[in-house]
Amino acid sequence: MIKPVYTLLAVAVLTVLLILGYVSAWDPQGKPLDISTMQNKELLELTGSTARLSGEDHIQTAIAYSQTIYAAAQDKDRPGAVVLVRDDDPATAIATTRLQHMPVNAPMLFVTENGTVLPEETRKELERLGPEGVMMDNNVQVYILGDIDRSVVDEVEKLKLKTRTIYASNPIKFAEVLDEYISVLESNHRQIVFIASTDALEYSYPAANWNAHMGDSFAYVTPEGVPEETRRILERRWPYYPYIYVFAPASVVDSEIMAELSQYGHVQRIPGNTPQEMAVRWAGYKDSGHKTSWLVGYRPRSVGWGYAEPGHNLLLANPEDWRVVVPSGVLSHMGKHGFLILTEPDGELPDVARFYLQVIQPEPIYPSQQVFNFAWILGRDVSNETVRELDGLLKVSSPDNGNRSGLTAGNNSSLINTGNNR
Amino acid sequence: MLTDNIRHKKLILWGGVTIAEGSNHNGDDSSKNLGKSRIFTSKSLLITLIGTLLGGLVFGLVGYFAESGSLAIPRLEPLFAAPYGSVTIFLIIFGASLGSLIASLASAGKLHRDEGAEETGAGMNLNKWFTWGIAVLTAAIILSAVGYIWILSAAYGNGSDQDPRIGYTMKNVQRIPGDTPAQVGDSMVEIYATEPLEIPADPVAAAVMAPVASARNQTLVYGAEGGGQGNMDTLVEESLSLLGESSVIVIISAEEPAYALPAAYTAAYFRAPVVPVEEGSIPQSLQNSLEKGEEKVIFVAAPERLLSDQFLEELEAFGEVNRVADENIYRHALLWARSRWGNFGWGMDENFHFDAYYNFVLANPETPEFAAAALPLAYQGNYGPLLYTQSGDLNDYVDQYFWRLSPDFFDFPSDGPFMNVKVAGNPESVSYNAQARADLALEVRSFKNQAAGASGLALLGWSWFFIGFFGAIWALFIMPKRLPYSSFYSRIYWPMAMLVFGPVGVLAFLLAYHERPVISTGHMAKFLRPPWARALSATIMSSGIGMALMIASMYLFQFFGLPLLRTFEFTSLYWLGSPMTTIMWLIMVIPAVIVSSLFYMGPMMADMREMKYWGGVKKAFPVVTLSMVSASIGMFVTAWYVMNWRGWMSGEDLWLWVTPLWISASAGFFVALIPNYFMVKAGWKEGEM
Repeated sequence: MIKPVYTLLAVAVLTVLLILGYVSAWDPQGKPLDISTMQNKELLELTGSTARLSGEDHIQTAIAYSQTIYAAAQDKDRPGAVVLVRDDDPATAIATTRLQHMPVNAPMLFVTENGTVLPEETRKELERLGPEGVMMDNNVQVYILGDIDRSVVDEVEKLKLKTRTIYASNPIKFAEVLDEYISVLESNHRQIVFIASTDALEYSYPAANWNAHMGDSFAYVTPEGVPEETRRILERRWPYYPYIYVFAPASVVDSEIMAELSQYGHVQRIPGNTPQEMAVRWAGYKDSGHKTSWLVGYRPRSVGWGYAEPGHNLLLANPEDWRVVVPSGVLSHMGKHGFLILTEPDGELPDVARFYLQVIQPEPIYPSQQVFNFAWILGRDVSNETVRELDGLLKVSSPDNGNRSGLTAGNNSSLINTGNNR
Repeated sequence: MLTDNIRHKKLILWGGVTIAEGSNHNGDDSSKNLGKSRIFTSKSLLITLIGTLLGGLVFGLVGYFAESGSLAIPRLEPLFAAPYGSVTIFLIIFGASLGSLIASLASAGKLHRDEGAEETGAGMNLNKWFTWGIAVLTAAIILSAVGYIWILSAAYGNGSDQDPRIGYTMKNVQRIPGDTPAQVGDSMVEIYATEPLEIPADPVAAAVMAPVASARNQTLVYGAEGGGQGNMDTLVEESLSLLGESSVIVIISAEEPAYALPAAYTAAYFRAPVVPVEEGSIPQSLQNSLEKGEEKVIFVAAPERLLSDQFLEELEAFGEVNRVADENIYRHALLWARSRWGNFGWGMDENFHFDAYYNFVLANPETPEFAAAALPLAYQGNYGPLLYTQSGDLNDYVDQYFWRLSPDFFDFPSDGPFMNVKVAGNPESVSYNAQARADLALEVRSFKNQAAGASGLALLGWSWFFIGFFGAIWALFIMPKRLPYSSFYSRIYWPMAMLVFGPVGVLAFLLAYHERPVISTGHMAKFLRPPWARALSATIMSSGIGMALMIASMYLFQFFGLPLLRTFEFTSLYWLGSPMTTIMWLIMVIPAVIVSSLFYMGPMMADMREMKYWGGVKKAFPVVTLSMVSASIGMFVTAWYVMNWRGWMSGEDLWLWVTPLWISASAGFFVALIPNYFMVKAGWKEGEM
């Protein structure tokens, strides 16, 4: 018989060889960043409670979001994958954000020229990110979504990145194809379904950010009604039924379409007559209750951010350019996990946002228990004055000029207490 | 005896075996009593227990000192993402297992076979080499999988070329624009847009004036051109006259301002005067201030090297004096961030924080000017204390502190809490990689699954794993030593079973072999056990290797990416293509059944029943299939429950990976016990090896 020590040695040697094998598969160590900290400081401008994220154009702005979330300085701060979308197809990009959620874990970057060109900056960012691959799907590293030219796929594959193409000729169809892919990935059809109108996409920006954070289903209606693809999506929740949330005011999706949707399941309309209003109302929205239940078990539903207290973060964007807004989903997905608030088209804070921010402004308390808010400012279309105003609404209220200094009288005897008080 | 009767029947059932009177243990030609098996003697048991205690004590102390912040465990900081106490518990279990392994092997005396007792299974043949080789490979795959988790955590993994970056902003760590301290000073005005208070480029002056600026709601501007050139005495007098009411005074040394600044951050927020002194001389203005009004509490933020104990005794004439300092500059800053005295001090204790939102400033103590220039961050905006790091890699103590603080969410990550750091310094002062490390550590994570960090649940899983790991090594050596009649196969599958079943495997081993009568039946030795123990042994025999193979193939599939089939999309069978259901079951169970039948149970049954190899395989196949299918059902149901319902899902390179797998493996073992019990009863298998 074989002596145990030989067995032990054989296992040890083989283990070490295997680990060396895994390690040898690492990409070579890259150069850490050593540019001046002053570089692009306007694009990444800071205030006490905010930070701006922007690039020279929308391609770079999407990259700035990606760089913020994924430092790629070590193995564990890389994304699982990257999602590539066309920069002239907002409806597909909005439907896509749900794919960015776990287990995929991906930033969104752009392809230009009607989906035929992989811009140089995007290519460099793909190389910098070095996605880990999605374990649940063959270690796919790049998703190419919507109507994108084959040449782009080839170019990505030339970077030695594994791709998955999810193609559809139009966004309505795309929503269905993507829903089915994610259902296979999760072996389940998500019961929460967000509905937007192809006619008024800006109302659905807050839903897109939520979906990068939670990964719920997404489908479109048109001014003509509920398309066949969307009906099929809603039917496929069988044996359960969908919980439908409509991101459009009555002027866009009328009561007839709402009634139509109600044939499939629970339907609610997110309140708000303007995109700005809807974004704020969605930040405070929470619909809880039944989702799935059996004889003894159940899964509850909890839809919406639902925040009415301090200690949360937000993203502030001007809705004028969707290409700055939609890729920001990755900022709702990781890090500050912020919800989206929209400025007026002129870049000013809407009143409804001012009121809401007062609701969530932190009160001063002893620093070990102090709660803070923080905001990312998206792109360059939010003015400095607006940022300054927002900063004032986010920071701990009423800078207390009272006596912070030291101990209250009479407390001195029990003063030294380095223990675990807090 | 009941057992003997059963065994007797069994022996007759075997047919071909030449035992006429199975219950007769001695004197028989073909069935000979070889005595009782004994793994421990009372002496070796005592030594083993001592080893267990010593190992647990030594490692437990390391854990305790690490968790209390006085010891850094470099490169394994992510372990500290788990709740307070869990690293210590893990290390105690690790040390106790290791200690008992060493003590037991050192104290176990070697037993020999009786003269004339036949060599079990005789020598090696090709099939046995295969059996051994597959076991070694399987064990190596499993150990490389778990080992890689540690290696990757310690090595970090390579970073990318960062050339395309627009700047330094990260999700949890941003950097103040400024390649020089003066530029950082200018940035403060842009960031806070309050009235500036200009001071000269001197960290000590900044420390003195920051509380003044804080009390006046001004922004301190470091090294501003033409910024007030007043001498230090004037500045101190100004500070004492404005903040004289404070019941706290912070004394710093005018030398080595790196020690002064963490205290200055605290003083700036709490608006306590900061007074620089030189060893042996108490400035007149300070004496005046201390003599009037109520007695003050004096905090000295300098180590003994800078301000001696004698000097502190002199100060005691004026009030209560406390030195708050550590010679180690990194721990010094942490001490100021962590401590609280009454209503003075940040009180950001990493071990007792719940739902805390902390902000920090990170700078290099070799360039304290940056930390001084960033002093407004102590009292404006999202304020917080100063921590230090060296340039290259984030300081170990700080890294450990951050991982312990790393925020946990319970419902949704957006619920918070959140933590944030601002770096003051150029890339030579604080590198991109040190910044990225802080960014990774402070990400908000699910309480149960800390992803890059270890959760309490993950450390429990690792404790479980290490008991099995050391148990496997123990079994590998103890079986030839103390169980000379154990067969070639059992010496392979018991260590394997311990590796995958952890403590369950160890316990099963003790129950199967402790004080069992051993008999020789002519061609091989048998251990006489009651039926439940035979079922135990039979289950280990048929599922130990199979489970190890299942875990190894699971790992390889996770490593190379699980297959996902889109073939069934848009049909009601869409879920067949999902990696988590059917496909995974098939790729795990089928190879395990085949390999186990061909190289383990098959030849083993052939040996035991003196059959031809293929005869053994034929006998073994249904037994293995039944065992493995039942084990896999137990495993999959448990894995599905804990992963999908309890949120224990984890990638193969993350800390939590072991917990769901090893717990599910043990669940599989218990399910497989049921059919094995009946198979033993029905005589399909024996469980006597």
